[in-house]
Amino acid sequence: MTDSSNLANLLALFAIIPLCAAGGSLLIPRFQLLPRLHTHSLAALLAGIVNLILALWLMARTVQGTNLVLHVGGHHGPFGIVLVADVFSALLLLLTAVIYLGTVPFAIDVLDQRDRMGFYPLSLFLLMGVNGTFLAGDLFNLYVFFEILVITSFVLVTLGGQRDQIRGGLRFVVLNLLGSMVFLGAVAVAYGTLGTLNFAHIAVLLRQPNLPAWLVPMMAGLLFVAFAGKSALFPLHFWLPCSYHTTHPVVNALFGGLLTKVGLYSLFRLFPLLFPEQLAAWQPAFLALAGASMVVGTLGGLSGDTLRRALSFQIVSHIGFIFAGLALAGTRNGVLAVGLAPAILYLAHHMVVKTAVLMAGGAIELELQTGRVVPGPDGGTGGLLAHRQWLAIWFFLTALSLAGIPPFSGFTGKLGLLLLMISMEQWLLLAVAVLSSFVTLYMIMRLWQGAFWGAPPPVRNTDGPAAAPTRLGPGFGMLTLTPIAVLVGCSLLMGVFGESAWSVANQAAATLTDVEAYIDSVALAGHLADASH
Amino acid sequence: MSVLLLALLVTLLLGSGTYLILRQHAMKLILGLGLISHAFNLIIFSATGLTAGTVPILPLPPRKADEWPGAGHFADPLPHALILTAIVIGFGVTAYLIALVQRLHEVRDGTAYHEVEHFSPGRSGEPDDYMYLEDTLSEPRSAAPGADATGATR
Repeated sequence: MTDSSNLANLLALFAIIPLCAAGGSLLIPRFQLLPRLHTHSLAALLAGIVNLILALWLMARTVQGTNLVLHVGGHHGPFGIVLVADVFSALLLLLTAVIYLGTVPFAIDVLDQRDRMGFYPLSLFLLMGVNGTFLAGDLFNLYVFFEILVITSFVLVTLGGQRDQIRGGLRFVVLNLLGSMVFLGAVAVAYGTLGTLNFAHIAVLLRQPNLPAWLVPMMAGLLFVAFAGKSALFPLHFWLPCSYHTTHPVVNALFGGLLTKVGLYSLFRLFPLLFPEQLAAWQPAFLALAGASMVVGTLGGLSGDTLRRALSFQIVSHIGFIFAGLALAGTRNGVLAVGLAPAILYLAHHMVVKTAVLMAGGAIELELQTGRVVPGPDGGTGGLLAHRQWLAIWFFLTALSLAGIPPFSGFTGKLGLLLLMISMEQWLLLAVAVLSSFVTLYMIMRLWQGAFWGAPPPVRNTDGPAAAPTRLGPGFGMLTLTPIAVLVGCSLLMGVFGESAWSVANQAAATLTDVEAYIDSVALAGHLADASH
Repeated sequence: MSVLLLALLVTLLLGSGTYLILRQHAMKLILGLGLISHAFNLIIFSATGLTAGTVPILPLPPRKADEWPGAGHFADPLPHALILTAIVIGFGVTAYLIALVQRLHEVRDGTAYHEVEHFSPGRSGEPDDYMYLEDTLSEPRSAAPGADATGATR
């Protein structure tokens, strides 16, 4: 069922609200309203709340099976710009809204000078880019929204201008830029051969019998390289571990939740829709890449010498898990919805929990003024348990969820993926997945022990009075702990009410694999049929 | 013929861009990225074939149907619009990259940037520098000779 009535106009608000909030806060001089609240953070907070309400509304509508389609300016696809929202888009928009709203109070609490350097407007532009990507109905708008979010992330990753940030940021910028150019190449191939960029229209035209044999592999390959680079899949992951940990903890949490998922979304959206045969044909290679991502991410996380470096590198292994679901779903008989569902559930879990754990990890680093919590030859401070009990509890719970311990959401998602691997008889991948889960558990427990047990931090200022060494950092309060608790609660709810979460994931997977319904929803009243002649 | 020339030009741009990117030098990196982005712009430009001697505007509807010159006779405007967007994005990112390299030069305290930015993993910066932003910015940059801006606070 498709709804392209006036209500669909609300889809544009997902881009307009962050844009207006960001633009408005850049235009109006920044001034303090309350001790901790100024115009920028207020704008971000309000935009985040409105965005969350919109996302909830969209989720409630699409979960009933209604796709919302906005033909921007009344120009119908494939010539006009089309924004499409189905359950999968709505789910990711909702998660994005929750994560964004969670990081804003964290930022209000702990942000340093970056507060004055325009963190909030930038984060709003990032939100706009992410939202737009999830709604884009054609390749070029996908590219444009990608660029909005990538360029914003270029600035966010170097915000503060520290040496390490610039060093990591340069790699981040260059590799993402190259990915964008490959994407542009795919756009050129699509337009040059098919004469269209609209997803649904491409899907229709790719069914023609006498297409050149190289066309589909080439488009699929270019798009895969572009999106694998953006989603930090092995072997295109190395921009992530060299840049994420150099950013401020707030930026790190935002990136960990949102940035790489946009690439994954694009893979999930485009491969079942446009190249289902390639998904099956390239399955061995895809599975190998997924397994390698799991191994590299887990071992990289284990070798990370600081808390956030370890947690950030570990994202790569989760990307491997999620991508494994997509790769397993491709069969000779088409893309299986039952294969995509656990991957979608794991994606949802990962976004929520990774943000929470990076926020908790960032709070620990700010408190200790160092991330070197693991005892070793060159470091190992900790001992936070004495005066940061709540943080210890929340970090522990996010760690459990990250490792996939019931009743948290990590368990249901991971269980689904493991069962899928068993049913597909991918024993090697299964072994890698199980082993990397155990290593993840070990890694995160080691971090927890280091941060909360361990030796208390040494007194930094040896000249001054030796008093009050326990709280060295700028500290944080309820504004940090509450979002972490809320995100942990979300993870717990997703785990406890696994049945409902599972059904939503199933529905999202079904919309991804139901190509006909997608084409129908975009091509209203035979516009597409006319255009393809 | 002109398609062949364009293909050769794209190859040349891509090749020299790749060569420059692999040079381990910040300025050459930026130039190389610029060349590669222009190569991709040209790919889009030639994607729909080259239409010589006409503008990307559809002629007015003819009075008689047989006077219609046909869709092949006007240049497709969409690639132009796509390239325009891509050029603007590439331009902005290039400017930003130059600013980044300039900043890298600054935080290295006066070392010329072509001397410092070699992409060797062995020369990573001091760990945990980034945690001390609060101190770093409040400290005058020239306060501690010998120590760089970030190291001074340690």
